Parts: sequence; structure tokens; C-alpha cells
Amino acid sequence: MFNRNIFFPSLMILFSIIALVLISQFPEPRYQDAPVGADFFPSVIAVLQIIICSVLIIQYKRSDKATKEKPLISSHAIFGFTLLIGYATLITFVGYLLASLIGFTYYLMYHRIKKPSYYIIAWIFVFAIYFLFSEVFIISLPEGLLFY
Amino acid sequence: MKKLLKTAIISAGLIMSASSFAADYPSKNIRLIVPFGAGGGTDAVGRTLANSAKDVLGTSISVMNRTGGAGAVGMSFGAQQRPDGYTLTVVTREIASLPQMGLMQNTADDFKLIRMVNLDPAVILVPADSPFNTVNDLVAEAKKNPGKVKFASTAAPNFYLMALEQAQDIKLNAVPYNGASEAIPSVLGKHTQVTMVTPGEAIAQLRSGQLKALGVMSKERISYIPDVPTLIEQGMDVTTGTWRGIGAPKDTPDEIIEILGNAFDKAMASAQFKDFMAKGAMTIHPLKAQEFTGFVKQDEKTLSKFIK
Amino acid sequence: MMDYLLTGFASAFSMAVFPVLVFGVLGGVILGALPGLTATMGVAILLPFTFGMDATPALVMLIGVYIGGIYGGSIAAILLKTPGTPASAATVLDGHTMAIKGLAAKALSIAAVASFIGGLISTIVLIAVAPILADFALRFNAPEYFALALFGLTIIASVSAASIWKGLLAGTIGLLVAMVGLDPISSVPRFTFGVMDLYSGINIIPVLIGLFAISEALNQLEKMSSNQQDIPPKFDYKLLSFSDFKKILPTSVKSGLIGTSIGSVPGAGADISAFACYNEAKRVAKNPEEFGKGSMHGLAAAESGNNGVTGGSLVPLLTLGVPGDAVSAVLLGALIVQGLTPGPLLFTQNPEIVYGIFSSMIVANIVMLIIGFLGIRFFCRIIEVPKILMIPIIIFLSIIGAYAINNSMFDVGIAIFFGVLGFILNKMDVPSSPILLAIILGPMAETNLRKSLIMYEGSWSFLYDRPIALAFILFAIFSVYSTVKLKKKQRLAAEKAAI
Repeated sequence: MFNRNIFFPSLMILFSIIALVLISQFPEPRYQDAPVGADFFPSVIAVLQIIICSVLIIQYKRSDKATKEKPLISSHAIFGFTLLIGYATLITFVGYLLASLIGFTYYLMYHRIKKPSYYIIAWIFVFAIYFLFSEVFIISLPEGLLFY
Repeated sequence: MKKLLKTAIISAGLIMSASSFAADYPSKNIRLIVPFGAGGGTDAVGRTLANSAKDVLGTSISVMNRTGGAGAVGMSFGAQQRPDGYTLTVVTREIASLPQMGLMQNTADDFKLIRMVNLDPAVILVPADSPFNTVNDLVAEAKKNPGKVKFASTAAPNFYLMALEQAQDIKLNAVPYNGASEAIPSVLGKHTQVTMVTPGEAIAQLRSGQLKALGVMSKERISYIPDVPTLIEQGMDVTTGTWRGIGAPKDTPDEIIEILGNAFDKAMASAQFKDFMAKGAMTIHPLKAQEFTGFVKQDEKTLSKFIK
Repeated sequence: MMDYLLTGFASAFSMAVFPVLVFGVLGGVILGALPGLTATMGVAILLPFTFGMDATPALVMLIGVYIGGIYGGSIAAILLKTPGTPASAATVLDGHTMAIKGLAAKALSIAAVASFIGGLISTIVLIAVAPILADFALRFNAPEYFALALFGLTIIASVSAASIWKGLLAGTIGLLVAMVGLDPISSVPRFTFGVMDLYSGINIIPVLIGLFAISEALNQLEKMSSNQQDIPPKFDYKLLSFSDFKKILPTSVKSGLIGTSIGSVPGAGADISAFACYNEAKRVAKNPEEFGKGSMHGLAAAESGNNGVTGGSLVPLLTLGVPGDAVSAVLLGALIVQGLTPGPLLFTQNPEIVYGIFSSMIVANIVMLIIGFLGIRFFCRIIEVPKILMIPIIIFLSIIGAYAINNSMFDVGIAIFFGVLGFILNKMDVPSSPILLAIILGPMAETNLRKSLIMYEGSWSFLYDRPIALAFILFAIFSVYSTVKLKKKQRLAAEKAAI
């Protein structure tokens, strides 16, 4: 059975081992010889991480395991992830302004919002931020590959 | 896939706009990429130059800081933008050194260099009460105790130091600090004995007398610190320093480079820019496109001697 | 000196200076409250606009942005659990918990008062003993920074609420993240996989945005959709009472002093200070178990601690002519552009400027306090915005913020990655603050340890033959000891309660 209290620390141990392998392949420095090299700190941390995760596993095995668990990822969280990634991808292509308008509208429609006032507030917000950044702070917001 | 699409879009854009390019340039805002953080020396020079050039060009220039990898990220980013003259990049000496060290994919050849802006020599600095009074004192000590004189290095590897070390066949103990703002306090606090920075970076400590300059690594003395002798005067033929300039992606049409070059000439001659540089103790060195390109080629050769 | 100060006050209230001061503080508060926009950025953007101004108003405006920006970060931290700057990450621990309990107005007023006290103390110390602090700052070098970072890392144990081991795991995750990029000493690429954007390491701001703002938005989204919404607390517009003020005063004063000392050391800033002050307040508290559950002392310590840095960070700038942090680096540029020489000469050559700065800082802190209080009702409205609108607003602001810090979509990716990571770690009861602390302090510890070894030619003797370094190492040991003792006491109490 999938048990996150065992699985997660084990995964972190696996990551630490991969890190240790990567550390062993660091190139030799060419310009600065130092008594403690580039590999020292990461190695110490990776080993520490393995120890900590082992303790976590042992601690869990010894505990009474009766804690009720919240589900790790729900469908709503998945919606959140897709919204984030979709929005970021959209920005790279069509720029901030369009992506935000599309993203915000899609989000409200997904939640079956009927009130027009919500849509209007959302759009005003998007334009207000655009104005604030480009005119007041003079920070250029992403323009998107298709238009610039 | 993304890269392919990007190339496709860029080339389509090129074909569409190539004919109508230069005639109405500039017709929209220009971006100037600064490969170092907001608030640093390169950023200040970039912003001030942008401020002066915008009046000449009649269009606004927005500065965009793109930091990382000692300038590599920003300069590579700038080299890969559309060659339409609307994205310019502040190029620094790192464009000559980083590619040779394998730390940057793009080189100076990926740019059409427009103008060099400033060229500043390195100054050798020690605390005011240091026993060293000339560069010869320093070299003598380093010869007596190789690898013992503690040097506060502003970057690793430090090409200022390497120039001196190689010319005089000495070795100092280089402790790497993150820029002049860390190296100077280290020397002031006597944790290290000597450092090398540009005059602008240490002008406050030089004026107040907290630091003593042993020598300046330029061909001639610098107007901001007229009492400091050059290394050549002290019998060592070593010059080194750092420089900045403006570049555009390599396929930018020559007419646009011409327009921009003229604009930057005027900007560099403007009272505001000259005043800013003088107050910051930086030396304007306005090389034209061709000379600048030759200069960078020469510097690449010089640096290759240190990078084995 | 008094004469100069009085003239300074007169000029701070003059028509040429006062409006730009208010503008600076207000702008700073807004910038600080938005995720991804920091005081440093605000100051750098405004710099070219100061070229045409006189010296005093120019510097006053920039300092106003700085002071306002550090305070502004805490508003979003308290109300939305999205710290605007790393300096307000410690504010989330207790400030947001208070807001959940319906005490948002009280939390905001405590934050404003504590920030004011911290800023004021810092300025007074700066005026009185700047040269002494400068001497202290100059004694800091690689070994001292290493010891300071080591001490800072022990705070991880005390901000790990549920389980120390999970907190430590968060710490090692943060440390490994901090190792990505070119090694700062020998330029060896580590864990970069040839990706150019990773050469400079992972930027702290997108990580902060991801871990706090995005993961919180995801969390809220899930709660809202699954009808497990928090019952909206009975909203209370009550501000802090006089007896509350008396209670938090000692903590705030002490944190202000700690913040000033940390700020005066170049390279150590408001983020470290806020956590260090929080740690110290928890150590001496009568009820340390309240920390993290809405303790006024915890909030006051973090807020006073981060604003305490404002005066301290000007010490190296005004006395040595070197910038203590990114903001003072811009101020250094502003001074030079004005034709002034930062450093000790400034006191003798242009005392009117120095004392003008000092008195304006006091006035700016007062303005910040007033804006803070006037704004409370307005800020609290943010809580009343329906969640369904607030969540996408936070997400969009986060993404723009992550982009704006370095104009890079890569940083947006980093923010999303850490948002999802933070969301999952949250479910596992692994706290986020240790990751942040580790990313701030990890490189500081590593670089300075290796630098020290180069300076000492391989000898480790710097660990005991430099008094300040030794003191911090002893602090670190003591900090671990007292946290372990506290946890033991709590466990015993819990067992007793169970029987």
C-alpha cells in the first residue's frame, strides 16, 4: 500500500543518493585551489539528509500510525496546477495582458460564476496591474513570442 | 520544439520587416539589457546612458536587468534577441573571458558591437598604514614569501591579479570576495593586505585617505587620482582594467547600427552623462564600432594567456 | 550635532522635502506589499529620477521607499500569508495566525508599531554610535560570517513547529537547492545540467513566492472547492491596546537593537535579522509554546527586527563608504551622482546632508506609522474580498512578481515548482520557513567557511582564535541546547496532560 510517511522520506533518500553520484562527477576547479573543495558542502548535506529521512522512517514505524490522513492531492489541486502551468505557458506566447484576461475568465467560468460584476472586477484588476507595472514602475511585462 | 517555433517566428518577422526597417527607425521603445543587477555599477552606467540617449533618439529606452552567471545569462539572452535594433545589450569584459572559460555559449562574435563606453584601469590598494608604499615593495614581499600575501580578490579568477603575477613571476594568496563592496572592507579591516579595483569603486576611500593606492594599471595617469603613478612608471610593463560597451544582435542591419552609434556618441558627449561619469570617477572611452571590435579581439587574446 | 539635527528636521518638513518623503514611504509600502517587488528594486528604479533633484530630497525619497518597503512586506504577510519580501517571512509565523483568529487589525497595528519602534531605535543608534558600529562591522570577515550563518541555521530548529526532524529535512532540502549553480569559490558548475539559467543559482525571491504565496493559493483553492472553508472569523477592528503596547515594548526594543547590529554588518540583512529576533524572543518568552500560534511577541520581534536593519545598513555606507546591502548600494550611487563622497568625509564635508538624512529617517518612520494606522481599515478590506476572486489575484500577482524580479520566465517556472513543492510539503507537515532560511544562509556558510580556510591556508584555527566568531559559535550551541530543552519540556507537559 502507498504510504506517504514511508514513501516520501525514501524518495528523499533516493534524491540524496543521486545527488551524491552527481557530486562525484563535479569537474575539477581550474582557477582556485582550496583546502575544502566544491564537493564538500553538498556531500555533507546529502549525507545529513539521508540520516534525517532514516530517522523519520524509524520514528513513523515506532509511532502508533493511527493518525487520520488528509488526501495528498485532490482534483481541485490538480486544477490549480494546470491553471498555473497553463497561465505561464500562455504568457510566453501571447504576453501578460491577453494571458491574464484569458486565464482569469477561464478560472471564473470553471467555478461557474454567473455574476458579471466578478468578471468586470477581474478584468479591471488585470488592466490596473498592467498600467501599474508599465507606466508607474516602468517594468516591462512579458510581451509574448507572437507579438513582439 | 519551442526553439524551432521561435526561430520560425523570428525569421518570418525578419522577412516581413527587413525592407521597411531603417527608414522609420526607431518607431517604438528600445530595450537595453543590463546583465548585472539593479543598483550595481554596470546598471548605473546603463541607466544613465539610456536616459541621455532617449532624448537623441526620440524614443524611450527601458532598462531590463537580466542577471546571472557573472553576466553570462544576460549577454547570451541579448545576443539571441531579434536583430531589429530594438533590443540592445550592455556588454562587459566578461564577454571576452567567460566563453574562453567554458562558462558562456555566446561570444563577442554573436554581437555587432556599437560603441565602447568606458575603460577603467585597475588600481592596487592597501590600507593607509600598510608597510607597502610602492608596487615594488609589494612585489618584493611576494617574492620573499610566495603565496603568503593575502589578496582580496573581487572575482575568481581575477585577471587583474593574474596580469601582475605573470609579469612579475609572483604568487599571492587570493581570497575570493564577491565584488569590490566586499573586498574593500576586507582590506580596511586588515583581514587581507591588498586588493585591486577600479578607481570608481574605491573613490570614497581614496578621497578620505582610508586606502592608499600603490599604482594604477593604465598607460597614463588617471585624472581622478593624478598623484598615483602608473605601474609603467614604476618599471613594470603591466596594464589591465575593465570596460563596458553597447552591442546589438549580430544580424542587426548596418543602417540601424549607424543610427544608434551616432545617438550614443551624442549621449556620451552630453553634459548629464559626462557629469555622472566624472562624479563616479569612471573614464569615458568612446570607441567606434570598428575600433571597439578590434579592441575586444585583442582583449580576448590577452585573456587567453591566463586561461589555459 | 543638535543644531544640525534641528536644521535637518526643519528641512524634512519643508515643502521641497516632505512631499517626496511621503511619496517615497507610500510607494515603498505598496511595492513591498506586492510579491516579487522589493525595496531594492523600488530604489533602483527611482534612482535615475533623482539625478535632477537636489541631494537631500533625492536621498530622502530613496530612504522613504526603503523604510516603507520593509514595512509593506508585512501587510501581505499578515493578511494573505504571502510575504512580499524575504524579510517578512518570519512575520507570517504569528501575524497570519492572528489574522485567521480575526485579529487582523490588531496584528497590523502591532506590526506598524513594532516596525516604528525598530526603525526609530535603529536611527537613534545610528546617530549616536555609528563610528563604534562601523568598527564592529569591520571586524567581520569570512570566519565571522561563517559563524553567524551557522548560528542562523540553528534557528531552523526553533521555527519548526510540529517536528524538529521534519524541520531539519526542510533545512537540508533548502541547503541542497542553495548549492545549485556555479560554486562561488572555484566556479565549478554544480547541479546545473548545462542549463544557463541555473549557473547563477536559484533566485530566492521566486522561491519565496512559490513556497508561500502560490502554495497558499493552491491550498485555499482546494479548501474553497471542497467546502472545507475556514469559517470566516468574527471580524474585529480592535487595534492594540495600551497594555498590549506595554507588553510588546521590551521585545520590540531588544529586536530593534539586534536588527541594528545585524544590519550594520555588510552582507547580513533584514531577512536574517527578522528570524534571529524571532528566535531570541521565543527563547526568553514566558510562553514559548504560543509562538507560531499567534503570539504578539513573535510578531513584534519579527517586525521590529526587520525594520531595525534600516538604520544599521547605513552604518557601513556613511562611515566606510561601502554598501552594507543592495539598497545601500543604490544609495551609494545616489550620493556619488550628487557629487558627494560617501564615507567618513561626509560627516565633515557635508554634515547638513548626513543629519538631513538622519532627521528624515525619523520623520519617515513617523510617516510610516501614520500610513500604517490610517491604512488598517483599508487593508482589512482585502480580507473581505471573496476568496474566489482573491485566489486568482494572488496567483497572477505571484507569477508577475516572479517574472519582474529578473525579467525571466525561467524564474516563473521556479516559482511554480516551489509552489507545488510547498503545497505537498505542507500536507506532509514539513514547514516552509526552514527552506527559505537555508537558502539564505547556506551559501553564506559555505562561501565563508571556504574563504576562511583559504585565508588561514588550510588551518581551522579561525573557529576559536577570533572572538566574534567564537561568540557566534557558542550562541549556536546554546541555541540548539535551549530548543532541545524546550521541546523536552513540552513533551513532558504533553505526557502529563495525557495522563
